[in-house]
Formats: sequence, structure tokens, C-alpha cells
Amino acid sequence: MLEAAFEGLSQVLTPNSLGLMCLGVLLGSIVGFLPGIGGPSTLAIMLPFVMTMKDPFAVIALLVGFDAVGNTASAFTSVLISVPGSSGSQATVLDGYPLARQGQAMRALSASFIASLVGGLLGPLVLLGSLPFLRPMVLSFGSPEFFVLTLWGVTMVGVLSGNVPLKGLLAGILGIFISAVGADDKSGIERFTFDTAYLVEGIDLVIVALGMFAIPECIDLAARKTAVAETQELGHGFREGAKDVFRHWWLTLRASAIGIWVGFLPGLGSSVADWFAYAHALQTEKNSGNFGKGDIRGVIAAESSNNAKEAGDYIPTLAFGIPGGTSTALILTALVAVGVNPGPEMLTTQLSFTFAVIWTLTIANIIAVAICLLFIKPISRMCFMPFYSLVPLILVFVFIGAFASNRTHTDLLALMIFSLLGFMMRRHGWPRSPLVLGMVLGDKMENYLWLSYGRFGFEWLARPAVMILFVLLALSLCYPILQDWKERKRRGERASLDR
Amino acid sequence: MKSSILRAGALMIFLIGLIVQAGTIGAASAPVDFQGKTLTILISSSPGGGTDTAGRLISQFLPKYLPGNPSTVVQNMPGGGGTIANNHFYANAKPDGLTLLQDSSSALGNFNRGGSRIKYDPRKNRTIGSVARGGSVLMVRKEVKDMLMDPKSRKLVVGDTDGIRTWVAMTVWSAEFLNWNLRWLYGYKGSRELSLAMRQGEIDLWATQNAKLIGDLRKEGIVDLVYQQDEERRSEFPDVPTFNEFLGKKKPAGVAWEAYGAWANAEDVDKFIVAPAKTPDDVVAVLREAFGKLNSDEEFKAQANKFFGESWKLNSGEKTEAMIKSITSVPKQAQDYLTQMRKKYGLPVGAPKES
Repeated sequence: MLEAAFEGLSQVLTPNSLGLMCLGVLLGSIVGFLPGIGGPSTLAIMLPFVMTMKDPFAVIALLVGFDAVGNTASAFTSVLISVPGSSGSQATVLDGYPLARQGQAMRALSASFIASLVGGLLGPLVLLGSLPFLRPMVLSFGSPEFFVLTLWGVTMVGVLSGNVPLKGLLAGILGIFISAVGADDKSGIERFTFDTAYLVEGIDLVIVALGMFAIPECIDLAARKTAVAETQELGHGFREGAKDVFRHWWLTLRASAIGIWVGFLPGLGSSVADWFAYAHALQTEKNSGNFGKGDIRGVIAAESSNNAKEAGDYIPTLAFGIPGGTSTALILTALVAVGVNPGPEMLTTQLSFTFAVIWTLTIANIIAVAICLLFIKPISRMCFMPFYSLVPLILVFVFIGAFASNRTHTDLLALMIFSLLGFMMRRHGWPRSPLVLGMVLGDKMENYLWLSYGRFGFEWLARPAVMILFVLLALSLCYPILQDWKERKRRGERASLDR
Repeated sequence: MKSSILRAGALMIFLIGLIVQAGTIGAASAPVDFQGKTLTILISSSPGGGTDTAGRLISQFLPKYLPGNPSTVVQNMPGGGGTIANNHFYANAKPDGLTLLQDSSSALGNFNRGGSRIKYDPRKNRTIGSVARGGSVLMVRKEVKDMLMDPKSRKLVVGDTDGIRTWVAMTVWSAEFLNWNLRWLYGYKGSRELSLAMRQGEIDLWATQNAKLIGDLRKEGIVDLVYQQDEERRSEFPDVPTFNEFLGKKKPAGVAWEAYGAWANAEDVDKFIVAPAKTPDDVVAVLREAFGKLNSDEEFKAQANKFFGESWKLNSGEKTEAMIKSITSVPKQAQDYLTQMRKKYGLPVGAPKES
């Protein structure tokens, strides 16, 4: 184990890998900093280029480095202009912006970066600690359990990622349908190909991801044209902020733990982690009256959780090959393309890859926080520039990326079709993550079901682990219905009181 | 806002035009030299398996010996035991030496079995060479070993990716001529999933050529080794009988053995790499020469040893092409016998009536 840890570290520290990691961190920070451009869309643009690389360690350094820091620099815009730079920093706005208006922007920022660092270091530590338990867990999971796990993944993402669970579920099912297009692996039977050569290979995830995320967000960015005019004073409190984190160390730890747990559960993205942690702080901290009006604890809770969450995401991704969110789903695709095989081997023969991920998460977080703290002033000034001027540049990369992966013109047509679909979904409040995850998991789901039935007949349904997983699945399906019912009941009571 | 969307749309259309233009210009030129060119190696299976390893290894070392040292792109196109990649390659690959297919013996087995889904002819492709690893070794889980011959126990499960690997022939012939009590479960993605399924007891028998995987399972005390596929015992497994030795007097003769050969002998070419039919002779010659030079590349040999164990060898393009020709000319009688056996044991048959 120690040997693998060392090999992972030395591979991540080769000039090539380290350079790519810095590039990843820089890109991740820029994307985190820019409101409107999200991690998944940038990953989708990077994917076709990365998949031609040969060194898996370099790919891990670049992509995991990128992914690890997406929620660090996002605090700048959350605190200074009340626009979250990434979906993981929404809760940061609640107390960060009021603090900035009170002239304590510096304190809020430094607290948020140090909290990010703590969360970002605890995450990989927990990932490391979970390794010994993962192997027996993976070995006890046969095809039937994996089938229910994939089903659960899509269900959770579907139910939780949007405001309307039914829409999310339908989007997930659409993703599974899309994964069924093309020749079947087992028999070579062609499905939904309509005798076109293009569809025989199935639809490329890269194209769908670009269409779903990159183009709609570009359109949105160009259409919104936000340029924030009023300048904000940075104020003081740089040291105070750092001290705040340690003064509230117990909260920092709890918020990080929440983040890791949220990451581990499939379907709950970083957009949820910060809210969970914030809500937890609100419920458990004493003197919570100031929350929402500029309490530093709100910033600390949100920012430590969203960085810790990224590491939690890698636990199911590496151990089972079942990604927890959209970003890890895309990273998984790239890792498989360069020869990393998620599954039990990540804990045996490929342990050095696992350690490379852990090291990258750790080092990337340190670099990102260092950049943010060192350049806190110049970056803050950049918050007041118009972002939409970047749209043409991004579009160029999107189209080159779509073309580069297979070099067929049909891919560009497919990109247009999926962009339209993605744009419409965004416009009409349909969550897009379930579609992408459905696509990634649909193929596995079918395969596991086939093997389960082929091996056990219907008896697989009676396996204890399968039944437990089905109960969990049912619970997560019922959760929104229950919430809805509670909400209605509360409203009903209020209405009767009003009368 | 609307005009912004319109403008973004116009920009998108302009960019597509630009890329389409660039694409057509790039495709028009022919390779005299590989300088500045990109060599695409299509792999007929998913990442991680033997075919993939062979393809990636070759893609890493072949350009070194090609004039102009092209860059390489590896693309996996798994499915149908290589059928999907072969159909695609046969219909679409340009015969300019810039697209190669890393294929495996399953594609020859599929071709022999025939059927409406086979839209390629492996005899027409130009073979560059092949990497032949040592034969597959059949493993059985220790716990259930005694049930193999027991007609009263449950049928033991043979696990495979697609039910058409060459080693599966041994198990089918064992069921027929040694009265083994078996059934077949195919659909596993690759050797990783299969070795996991062996550990979990989801399957009971499995064979692979990968000496390391076999060694691991054996060391952990999970499996016993039954027999191996080659004519001669592999140097890593001197204590395991060959299938021939194992059959002894029960070895069938005549058409039954011919049919076995039609399925199993494809293993001799194992992982072969081809250029499209009609690739000019001079281009084929250059590719074959470069492939031949891998044999004296120490770094290549070290890597291959790491992945395949010690019993691997490279076959030249000429030799492989001849082997492919002989494997793919199966007498009708043997072919019919083969189809019959596959039907009898519930394995996918090449020519289903698609009604």
C-alpha cells in the first residue's frame, strides 16, 4: 500500500503531470470564478482532447485537479457581487455578500479560502480511510446488486437534481434510451439505428455532454450580458478571516463531513452540499440570529462542504465505476479511455491510480487556495469585467472538441440537435444531469440485469443486499412526495388559520 | 436578448462551416510519407482487455519505425465480439494506411459462423502482423469442482463476454464428449468483470490467456487449473495438461473435430492488426516492415512480457494472412456441425432467422 502511495505521488509529481495539474487548477479556478460557465460544460469541452492523451497519470492530474478546485475561486463572485461563480457556492452568497457590504469582504474571502482548504484536505483523507472497507464491499456486490445500484443512481439524480422530480426521472429515462442506441455489445444486434452507419456506434457521450451543458450556457451567458458596474471595496480582515475558520473548527469539520457524505451519495451534486451544510450550521450553531445578515459561520460552512464534496464523489466512481455526479461521470469516461479501470482493481493492481487521485485532490486544493490568497486583490478586481465577451472563444472550443473526437461531420449535426434539446430543457426547467448520468449508467444497467437474470433467474430479487438497496431506492423515490405532502399540509394549516 | 441569441446562432453556423471546410481539405491528400499524419488504430473491443492492450502497445511502438513517425490515435469500438468494429472498418476505412484495425481471433470465428450481421470479409483485409499469446487456461472454482461430472447437482456456469471466444469451444466439447454438467453465461464486459465474478462465485468456470490473472486466482486459492488450449504446454503452466492430453481416448474424430478446429484454431492468430482491403502494396510493405522491427525492440519486448506473460510471439503479416485464409475456409459439413452444437448448448448462433 505504501509503495502504491509513493508511486502515485511520484507519478503525479513528474514535471509533465505537475504542469498539467497546475493547468487543471488554473482552468478550474477560472471556470469557478466565472459565473455561468460550469464545471461539467468545461469538462465536456476538454474531454475529446484529453482522451487522446496516453499517460493516465497526466489525465488524472489534469481532470481531477480541475474538478477539485471548481468551488474555491467561486467565492470571489459570491462574496463580491452576489453572483455565485459555481453552483456549489450559492449558499456562500447568503452571508458572504452582507459581509462585503459591511466592508469585510477581505475577511469573508480569506475565511472562505481557508475553509475550502480544510474541506479540500479532509475529503481526500476520508477517501483514503475508506479504502480498506471498499474492497470487501465491492467483492460482496454481484451483478444483481450492481444493477440496483445503477438504478438507484439514476433515480436519485433524477429525483433530486431539479425542482420537479418527475421531470428529472423522465430526463434520466431519456438518457437510458439514448444509451440503448447502437449495436448491442453481446449480440451485435443494431437498435434504433435506422440503417445509418453513424448510429451503429451509438451516440457519443462527449457530443451529448457538449450539447447539454456547453452550448446552452454559452447562449445564456451571451444573452444575459451581465456587467456589474458598482465597484465594491475589499475592506479589511484578511487575518481575521483565517482565524475565524479555526475559531469555528468544529463547524468546519462537521460541514466537511456533510460535504463528503453528499458527494458519496449518488445524485446529490455540489449544488446541494453547501445548502445542507448551511442549513446544518443554522440549526445547530448558537446565536444563529445573525445568519443571513453577515455571519462568518455561514461562509465557513458552505465553503468547507463544497470542496470536501468533490473527494466524496470519487469513492463510488473509483470503487464501483458508478459516478456520483455529472463531473465525475465525464471524468470517468476520460479515465476509462486512457486505460484506468474503475472497480476492485482500483484497490489492487491499480492502487497507484487511486493514490494519484487522492494526491491530486490534495495538492490541487493547496495550489488553488494559494493562488486565491496570493492574488486576492487582482482577482477581486476582475469580478467587475464583462464575462460574455468570452462566449465566441468558448464556442470555438466546443465545436473543435465535438469534431476532434471522431472527425465526422455528422457529430456536428448531432451536437446541434443535442444543443437544441439542452437549451430547451434549460429554458423549461428540465434538469440535464439525469440525462447524462442515465446515458453513462444505462448500458451498465442493461448488462447487469441481463447477467442477474441469466445467472439467478428471478431469484436475484430475493438477495438480501438487493432488497436493502430496493428499499433505499423506494425511499429516495418517496422523499420528494413526502416533502411535497408536508409542504401542502403546512400551507393548508396556514390557510385555515388565516380564515 | 433575442438578437443576442440570433447572433450566437449565426456564429455557431459560421464555425461549423469553418470546421467542415477544414475537414474536407485534410482528408483529400494521400500519404507518401507519414510525416505530420495521424495514424488511427481502431480496436475491436473495449478498453482493458487483451485486444486493447495489444493495440495500445502497437500504437505506442509502431510509429517509431514508420517513415515520418506519425502520431497515433487509439479508438475503441467494442461490441458483438468484434463484429461492430469489423463491419465499420470494412465499410468505411480508407485504404490509405492511416486507419488500421486491431482485431482479434473472435472476428474470424464470427465470420466462420456467418449470418446476416457479418458484413465484412477478413480474407480481403491486408494483414500487417499479429501478436499471439500463450493459449487460454481453463479454471474451475475449487468449491464446486466435484460437481463438474455430477448430473444431480446444479449445472456449473461458464462465464464469457460473448459466448464466442475460441476457448469456449473446449468447454462445449467437454460437455458433449466428457459429459460435463455446464451452462454458459455471457455478457460480461471483459476479463476484469469475469475475474471478479469468479471471486464472487457468480460464475464457476472461466478461461483466459492472461498468465497474471490466472496466477492471482490460483495464488488466492480460489481456482484449480483444468487444461490449456495450446498444442504444447505453456512454460508458465508446465503442470497443466493440454486439452488434447486431457481428452485422451475420448477425443472425437472426423467432422466433430474439424468443427472444433474451425472454432478453436483461430486462437493461433490471436490479436492481429490489419489495413483495409485495397491498401496499396507499397504502403502495406512499409507497415509490415515496421511491425517486423518490433521483434527486436527491447522496450517493446519488456512491455509485452509485462502484459502477456512470457509465452507470446509476433507473427509476420504474410504468415498471419495465410493463417487467416486457412482458418476461414471451413467445409460446410463442419460448419453445420458447429452451428448444431452451439444451438444445443444455448450459445448465440451466427445466423438467426430475423423474423
